[in-house]
Amino acid sequence: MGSSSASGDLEGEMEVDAFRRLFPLRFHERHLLESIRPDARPLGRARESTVALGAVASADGSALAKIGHTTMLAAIKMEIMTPSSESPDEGSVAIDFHMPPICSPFVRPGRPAEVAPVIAKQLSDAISSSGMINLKELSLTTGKAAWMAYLDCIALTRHRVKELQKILNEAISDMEVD
Amino acid sequence: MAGKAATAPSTYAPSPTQKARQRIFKDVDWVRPDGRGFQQCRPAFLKTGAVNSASGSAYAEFGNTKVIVSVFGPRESKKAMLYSDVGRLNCNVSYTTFANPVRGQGSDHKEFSSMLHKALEGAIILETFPKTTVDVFALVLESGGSDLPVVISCASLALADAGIMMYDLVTSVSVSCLGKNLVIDPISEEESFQDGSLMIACLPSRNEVTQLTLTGEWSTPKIHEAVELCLDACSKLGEIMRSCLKEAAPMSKE
Repeated sequence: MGSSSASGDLEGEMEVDAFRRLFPLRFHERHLLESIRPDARPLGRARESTVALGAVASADGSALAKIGHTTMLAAIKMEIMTPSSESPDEGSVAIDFHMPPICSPFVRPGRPAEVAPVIAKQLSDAISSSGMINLKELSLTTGKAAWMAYLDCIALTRHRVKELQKILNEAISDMEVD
Repeated sequence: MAGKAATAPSTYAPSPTQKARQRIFKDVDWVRPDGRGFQQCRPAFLKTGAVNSASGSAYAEFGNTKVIVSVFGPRESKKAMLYSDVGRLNCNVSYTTFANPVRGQGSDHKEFSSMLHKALEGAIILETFPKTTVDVFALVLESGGSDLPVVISCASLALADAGIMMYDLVTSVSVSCLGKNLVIDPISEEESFQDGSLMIACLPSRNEVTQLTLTGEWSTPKIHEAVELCLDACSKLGEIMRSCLKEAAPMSKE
């Protein structure tokens, strides 16, 4: 069917697309035999990535990261809370990941994507276990007041999500705490 | 820790930057915080094709108001919907949690979805996609004032990017009445002090208005003046949107 795409450029294009959807396994296998990926990258090369800080002025810190076509935006807003009694000299970070309906044809308004809470949990585990944020720095007055950082990540396009770790570092470094 | 997030501790936002401004502009001339003239709009940055998983998308930045709109469709209507020989338009406007200076959503934004719908449905030729639905989803990344007009303009740019047939681009501008002054394209600070606002969504080349929203205190001659101002700004914005689309077109032809 689509195995010989030698006839004419446009016709070849359409057959490739149909072939990709109908026989995805064979499509990718044929590329991997040449050690190349569908977008002509060799196996060891990553996509172009860009990071921009301070994308959103209304947030206290923000960052926008693009890897290939995947775009993610993270922003931090600081609020004051009373620290818990178990850790009176620590602030806290609340991490949330949203996939708004703009990012994918499968997400509908009012029905959040199923992967969103999973990724949010992955992120919060990664941040707390890596120790990249010293929660003691977020404390204002021991036992009385501490900063609560609301870190909200928004997926602007649909593809996968490993890129978030990178932008989180950037968003946190962009933030200024008095 | 995760336990704390589940119980949702009550937090408040410290507001060191809020100053109580007196309403003195009735006697003294108001100077706009960003130094614009009263009849000067903010510079617009428009870009199509921001989201590649959507049929069409656009990103608009008017000063501090940043909006992304994605258009999906025409695609299958929900199974519960009855047969319709004209297409359907479904709009949704949502805000990010960090869009406003104070965290948390504003309460009047729920009606923006239906207002966007009313502004766009007059321009889209629904007969060209019967039985299917076009979904327009808008996300306001940062709310710097005059949000709905920016959303409407950005949405019509995204619809054009998606190739949905329309009678004309929909452009939208709002005007605030501050005492005796009319300021166009207000920022959030000006909107908080306004006595009234007028928003117009129109089709600039056809000189037709799809939506007009008037709130607050207005006298008839002021309304006429404000409408003239808006229509003029809308036609200029229409030119800018057209040039943005033209720049994007040759790149996609390759």
